[in-house]
Amino acid sequence: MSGPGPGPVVRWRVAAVTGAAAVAGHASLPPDERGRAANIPRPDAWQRFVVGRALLRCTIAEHRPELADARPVIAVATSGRPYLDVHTEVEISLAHTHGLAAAVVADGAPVGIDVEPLHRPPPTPSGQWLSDRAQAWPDATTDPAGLLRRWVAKEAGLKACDHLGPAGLAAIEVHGGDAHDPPPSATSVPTPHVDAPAVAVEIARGHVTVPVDRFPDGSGPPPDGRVVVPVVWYEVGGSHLVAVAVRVGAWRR
Amino acid sequence: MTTDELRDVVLDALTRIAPETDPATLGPGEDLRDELDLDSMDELNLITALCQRLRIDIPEGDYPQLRTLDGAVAYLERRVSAATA
Repeated sequence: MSGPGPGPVVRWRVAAVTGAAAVAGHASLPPDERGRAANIPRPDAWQRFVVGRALLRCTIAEHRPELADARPVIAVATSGRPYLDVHTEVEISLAHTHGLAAAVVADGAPVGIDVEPLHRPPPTPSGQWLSDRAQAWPDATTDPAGLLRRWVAKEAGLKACDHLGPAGLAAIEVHGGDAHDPPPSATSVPTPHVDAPAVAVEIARGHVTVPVDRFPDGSGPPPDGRVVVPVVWYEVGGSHLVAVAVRVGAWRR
Repeated sequence: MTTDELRDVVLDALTRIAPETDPATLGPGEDLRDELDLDSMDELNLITALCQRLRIDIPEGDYPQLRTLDGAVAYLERRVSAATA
């Protein structure tokens, strides 16, 4: 694990998923993405896809203006992770939920993002996604806000790693994000420089540890079998919760 | 449990997660995530409900086998049979 110091610059943005946004976004998509959109039969899913892709392209262009005119192809790995097929140094991630899309872009640091409505009930606490330790957490069944923060952090961290060991989602441990499980000392995890949208309010920082038995590039595993991924939580417009995870270190996809 | 009973268990869990589910129109081989617009949290809630209702464990690596109605019923038949054998 690297020590403190300047972390990678990360930029994320959100967009409301509406019919008007989808119509406007559709016009900005290159032909191959319009083709993919045409194969989506559900209108609500079509809107999410179009708004999400348009938002991702806007965020890439804002982060790397020289790419705006190049319209790089956004490919999708077998895991479902989007990536730029040429400018692979630009790491991207995309999430959408009811009413909102979120996109994140970074140079040289794999990133993950997840978004959920603040009022959405979290997943049922169970061994399917929580470790024994997390289930023993005193408020595991009574603090829906804390559970939802754990959920979005795990989802974002998983996207940043693009791989999960056989122990599964339950083995991802979340540190920080609630008063019961404080983050580690500030000297142990690098802090990314995050450029968030104006409607977002940072509410917590922490990290997730993701168990991996190998890295997607075939190397590894890390000595202790876990990857530490810094996470920042935000509230957006008082209605949504966003987690941004940044994989810092030598390993690349 | 019979196949029909397991199908009812799956449909009951689905209608709790996605109330707009119409069992009459749900294609047996269609991807439930696409058909019912389920996201990853919905999928996890479905799995958890099935585990609790049937008192079985479903490993994460097996989730793809439950992504269609017929696939889920066939998978659960095997798991329940193994659990009661």
